[in-house]
Amino acid sequence: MNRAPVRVVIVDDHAIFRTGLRADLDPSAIQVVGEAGDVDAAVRTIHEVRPDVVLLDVHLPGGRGGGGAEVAAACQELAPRVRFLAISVSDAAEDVVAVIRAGARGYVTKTISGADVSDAVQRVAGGDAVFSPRLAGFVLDAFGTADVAVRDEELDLLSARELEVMRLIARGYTYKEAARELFISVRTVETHVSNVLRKLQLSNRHELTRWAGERGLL
Amino acid sequence: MHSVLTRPAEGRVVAGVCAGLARYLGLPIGWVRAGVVALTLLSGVGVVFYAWLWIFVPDEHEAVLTAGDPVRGAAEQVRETPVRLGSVLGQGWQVIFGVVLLGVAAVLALQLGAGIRMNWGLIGPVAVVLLGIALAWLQLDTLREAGRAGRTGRISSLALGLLLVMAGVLALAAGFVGTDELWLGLLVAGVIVAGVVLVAAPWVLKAWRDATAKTSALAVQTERAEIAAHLHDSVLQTLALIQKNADTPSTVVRLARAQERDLRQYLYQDPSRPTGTLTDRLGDLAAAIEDDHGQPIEVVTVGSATGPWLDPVLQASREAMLNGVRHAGPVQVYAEARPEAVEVFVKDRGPGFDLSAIPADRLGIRESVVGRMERAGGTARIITGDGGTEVRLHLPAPAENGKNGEEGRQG
Repeated sequence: MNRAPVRVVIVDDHAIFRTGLRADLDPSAIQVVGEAGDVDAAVRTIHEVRPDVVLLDVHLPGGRGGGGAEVAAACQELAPRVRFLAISVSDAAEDVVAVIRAGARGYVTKTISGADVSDAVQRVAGGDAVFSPRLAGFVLDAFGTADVAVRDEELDLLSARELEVMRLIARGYTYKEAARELFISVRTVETHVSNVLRKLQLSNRHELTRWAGERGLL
Repeated sequence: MHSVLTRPAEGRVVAGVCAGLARYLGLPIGWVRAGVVALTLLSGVGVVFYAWLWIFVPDEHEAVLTAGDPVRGAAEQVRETPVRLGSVLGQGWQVIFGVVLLGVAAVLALQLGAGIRMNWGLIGPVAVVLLGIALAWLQLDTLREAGRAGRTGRISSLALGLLLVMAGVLALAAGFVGTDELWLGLLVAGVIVAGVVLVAAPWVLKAWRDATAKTSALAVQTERAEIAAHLHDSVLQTLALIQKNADTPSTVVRLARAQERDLRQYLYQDPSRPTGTLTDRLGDLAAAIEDDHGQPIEVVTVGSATGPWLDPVLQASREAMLNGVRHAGPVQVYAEARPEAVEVFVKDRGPGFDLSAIPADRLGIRESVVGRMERAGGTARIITGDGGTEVRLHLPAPAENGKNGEEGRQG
């Protein structure tokens, strides 16, 4: 990797976790340029240092109580230069979906290995989306798994290909493995995943609302 | 043996005075009741005695709240509250009605049988006043415990009680003084009451607010108590175990993982969701295997399905997960329930194995996975290679289940 290291800000209210994560990240590719422990400090730090990627905990004290989603929303004008990768112990649907809809480019859990999180950070820095199997599962659950041929709005439906990619990710496939399985390039898989992320962020489809409502979101 | 005289929540007929006394004195409740009734019949002192105790003996719950251990008290109160609504509203009424009828009968009997002249102008109003008081007090007990639920009904009976008392008092007064004086007296009384209300209103309001604040504080405390109990039962025990087993990393990992799962369930599980779904059953299977083998299994499910027809695919999944954690390590499980079929994928990142090299006597894969799925009308495919092994299970839903499955997805 001969590119400049990815500049990262770690936002988490637990100092122990920040320290651990900092030690876990691959120092040759990632440079931690800032840390913050609550919403206000995070927004300030991000505006000051303008990192490439913010590793953002979902549950944060401070601000208006909106946690990670509030940070992402408050830094919206910095996009797409500053990208967010949500990292959390929570796998509750509302947490995941809230932070993704606030603009995060991906979601990983805190039990992720150092190598994996470094990889995810670089992927997000490169403009891609990072989906964990669980996030893919949420997407499939929210958008429905049936292939419906015609829909009014493009945003309301995942294409058959996108569904397939989501399924493979939910099954634990890497992008590379998914590409091999579907006989397409890794680049194409990344495009599909980014499209799904965009739909998840922008879609105001009825089903997503209902699905979220059932789980107490929105 | 109870060391404090309280009116118990259960087993009360009117206000629990007799039940409380019986418990306190260690006497059969029937004796106490008979005694009170006898005292009442003797000279009416039983009623006064009862009313006196009703006022001054605290409700069991009030007593609990003021007692030493507030957290426990909070939890207990929540647990016990639902029990007694019906009994107070239903039985109390019947008893009061019965007492009134008995009283009327006794008075009539005295008048007719013994030929004693009854002053109806006196007895009637007094009876009405007593009835009103009983009504109001009974409502106070219920109001206290039930909070907002059904409040309007209770307040209206409270008002009815108040009206009865006032009407009775007025009728009594009318017996002593003339109409003109009565009106004047009413006016004066009204002015006095208005003055008292003016002075007392802020105090009453403050007391009311304090009570409300106390109630909400109690609710918070109850929740805290519940969380504390859960943390104590699970997390602290696990932490103690982890410290004991600090030398064996595999045990530590297993304990931590099991605790994480438990806590996650506690925090994120929606209790209103129906249980016994594919998600739950698969999760339970994975949890059991995690506990036995100390390897993490992540389960992602999409859609929802229930029913015994899932058994074969669940058993096959279990076998596949077992194989994964035994031979490869961490396992990723993905299950998708659609109206027409259920699919389960069990993937690991182990070295893979040669399918054809499995000896014929090894039943694991051949029987428990492939054979089981085929007998159930489904299919099982095993893809193995450098990137690990994936077991793909597919089970069509039974024909009549298509519709149920659809509904299941909606729910």
